Amino acid sequence: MCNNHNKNYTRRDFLARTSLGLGALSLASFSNPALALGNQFSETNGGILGKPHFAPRAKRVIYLFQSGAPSHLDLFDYKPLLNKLNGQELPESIRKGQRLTGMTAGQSSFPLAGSPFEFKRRGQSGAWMSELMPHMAEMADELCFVKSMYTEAINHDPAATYMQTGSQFPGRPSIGSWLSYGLGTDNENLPSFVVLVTKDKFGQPLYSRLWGNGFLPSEHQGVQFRSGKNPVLYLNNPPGVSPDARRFQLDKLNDLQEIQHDELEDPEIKARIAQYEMAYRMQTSVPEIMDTSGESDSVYEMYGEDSRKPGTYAANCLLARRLAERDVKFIQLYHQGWDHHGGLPGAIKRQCKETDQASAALLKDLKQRGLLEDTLVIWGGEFGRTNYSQGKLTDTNFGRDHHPKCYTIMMAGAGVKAGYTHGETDEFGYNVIKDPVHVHDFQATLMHLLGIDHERLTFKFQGRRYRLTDIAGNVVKDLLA
Amino acid sequence: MDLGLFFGRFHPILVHLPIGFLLLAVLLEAISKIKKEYALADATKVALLVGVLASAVSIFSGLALSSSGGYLGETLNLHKWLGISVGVISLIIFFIKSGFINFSGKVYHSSLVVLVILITTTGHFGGVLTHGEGYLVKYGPEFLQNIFGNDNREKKVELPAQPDSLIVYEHLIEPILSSNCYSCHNDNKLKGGLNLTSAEHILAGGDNGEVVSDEIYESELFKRVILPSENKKAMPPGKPLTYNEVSLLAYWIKTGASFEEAITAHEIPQNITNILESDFNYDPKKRPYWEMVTIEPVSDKILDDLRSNGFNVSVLGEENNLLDVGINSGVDSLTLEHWNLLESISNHITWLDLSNKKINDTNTSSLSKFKNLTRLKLHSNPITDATIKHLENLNHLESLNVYETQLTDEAVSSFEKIRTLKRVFLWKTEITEDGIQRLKEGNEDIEVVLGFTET
Repeated sequence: MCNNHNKNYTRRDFLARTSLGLGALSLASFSNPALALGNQFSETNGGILGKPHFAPRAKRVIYLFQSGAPSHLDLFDYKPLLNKLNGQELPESIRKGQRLTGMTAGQSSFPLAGSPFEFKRRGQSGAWMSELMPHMAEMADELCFVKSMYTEAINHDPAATYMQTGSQFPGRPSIGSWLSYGLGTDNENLPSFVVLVTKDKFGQPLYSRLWGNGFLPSEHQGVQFRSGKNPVLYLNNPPGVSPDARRFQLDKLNDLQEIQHDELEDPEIKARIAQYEMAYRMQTSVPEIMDTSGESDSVYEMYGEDSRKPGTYAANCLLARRLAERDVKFIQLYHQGWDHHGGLPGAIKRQCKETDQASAALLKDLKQRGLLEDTLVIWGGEFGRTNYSQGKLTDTNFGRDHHPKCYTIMMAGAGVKAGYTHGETDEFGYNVIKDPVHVHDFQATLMHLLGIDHERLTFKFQGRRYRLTDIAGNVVKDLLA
Repeated sequence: MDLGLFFGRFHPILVHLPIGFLLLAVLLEAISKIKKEYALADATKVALLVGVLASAVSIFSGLALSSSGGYLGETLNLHKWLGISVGVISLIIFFIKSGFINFSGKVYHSSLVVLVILITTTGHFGGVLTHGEGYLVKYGPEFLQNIFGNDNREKKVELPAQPDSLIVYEHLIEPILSSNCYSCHNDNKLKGGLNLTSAEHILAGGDNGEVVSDEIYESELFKRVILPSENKKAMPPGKPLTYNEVSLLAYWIKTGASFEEAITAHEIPQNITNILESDFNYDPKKRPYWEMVTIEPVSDKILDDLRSNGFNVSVLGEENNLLDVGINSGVDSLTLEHWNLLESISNHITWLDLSNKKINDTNTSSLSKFKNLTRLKLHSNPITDATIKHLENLNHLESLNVYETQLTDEAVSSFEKIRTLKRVFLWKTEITEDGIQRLKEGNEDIEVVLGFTET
């Protein structure tokens, strides 16, 4: 019992609780036997909270993470001043000594680069969007733009880690893991946190720790479905093993693992058992999800032809909708390739072509099935891009470097104001001038929409209570419907 | 120039003299009695004489001050007569000490005790007149505050949960006035002739007329609190209101200085919303119905029972005992037992997902029993208009998802009866354009969501 792996009940716990009397301990264990061992799991749905802190607005989240940092200046944040001052130097009064990455720090000049794309106000809400995303523009009245996001991270790995785990340093649980830990699952036959990464894309690397469980029990990790025909390998039993035989094997395995657990009380054993059971259930649930033969042609048309090809962003969006229908709590898509240090005009057009129609189709599909009212959809990257050109600025070509001081994300669905723009950046698209929203604020708001007070969902590790928002974060009330 | 008032204002200064000298005389008498030291008698006589003369001057200055108005009522009366008694008793004591009157030692000594009591009580009421009730014990321990019951004690204001019940005057303005203004503008003490402790008094105004008007810059109540604190007329003197308190006051006056209106009567400007959030941790937005229902929690036993029968049941929140109910993917279709189980928690169900469970019109009559239902998902089931009829008297239904069902335009008549319906999802139904048109005409706020694809 007293070893370094046992986190359930340490000497410290025993000494701390002895002051209350061993009687209190035994009394607690009568009401719930699991309580006697510390890390209790409510019978409801596996979440440590048992019930949310307050009534949630969203029951599911689909997070379309655009890895590489899409240029807000070419997609959403209309800055005609940059076109007017195209080619002129970035004034120091605007830059105010903001640090640059090693890629542009050596540049002798920082010419402002206006966006070559046409911006228009869309929908009844008049949201500014460029011509690059015509399909999303049609859904402008459903979208909630946050133009004033900002972060401290200036490179992709720390920035993506920051967005996903609340800290630039790796090792912390991701948003989906926190939600799985806190709220459990609504469908026990599928993992509550599923990750879909677009196949064959290049750009900034992704790491499984972006959807990892950090120090939380490992059954809360994001389960990455492989992009392609076989999302989960070895799902089927090998020849000669019937489902009954598999069940028998698992039961006996569980018995052995229970014996081990009684000895060591290592919570990871419990996690392992849970994962085996989940895998068993996924043997039936995953083929059912992947069987998209029932989807009508018009649905495929709405998502675009790519949606018939497994592993594409569009196919993943369609899959995300199917997962949402089955109450998977946190569905995350990763689409790489937005890191346009050079050749931006051409590259961003290609990126939008790959993502625009499917993202809009996802919103439409969720809406027509009534899922948008309790599903939160998020679209965004890890930081913004510079208003000055990286590399040579020509009439037709330029690049943009990393810019942490402002970027835009879009949200839609449960609990967020539709047809609303929050926050403002200055005319140079460089600094936030109104209603800044930090990464932690965004995470706090996300938690709030799911019925969780971000300051109260914590996990004690290395002597202190960690939470997703670390030691900061305020819910942005203006975003809430 | 008002010599009387000029003289009267020395009263708070002058009273310290009789207090000091008369108490000194009592002290000297006590010492001589204890130490049997009779040589102090002469000193005692001097103390008494000065005390008598000083109390005479104090009394006259007090009378002059009280004639200026600005003080009224019981407290003033008490203080006046007790003060005069001090003067009279001290004179009698002096005469006894000097031998002009002959009374026994016992009478002499008891009148000393009476004198001390009179001085104390006079002084106490004098303090009340100057500083208001409870001034002395305001920062003391609770039990003292309760004994010397202070009406103007800062009440911890509990804002009502529903913004409709938050009365601007009662919950926001009155606490400001009571902790900053009542001490000098109450029933007993009316500085400037102004009493602020009730609506009638506020409206009546003071010596210089009304204090609230339509324009904040013509309202004395507002003008005085925004004066710089060096200004003689700045209110409250010495301790100006906080910026947030001034903002609330301005908001109240600007919206007509009503004493009954709730905060929802007028559009709430951003700065007031911010103040409510920062100072009161309060969100004035209208709450959805399911956040307003108070109901006993369902026992864990019933919840476990439901779960073991294939239901996914979540309690909405820690302070919210309503339930979000769905059906496990393992359950293929609903039996009568399932419906009976749902009926056992009929008043608790607010969000219900019965989609894709091969439900036809049998047993759906149970739906009419779920009085607190706000969101209902019945999509992808072979239900017909008959099922929708059962929903007609659900008074709080906001969202109804019936896509991929066999509904026709007849269901629209049922929709029209559900006045609270805000969103209805009608993709893949037989409802026609006309039906939708009719529905929108009957209910302007309703959002009808059709499909984006045909199938």
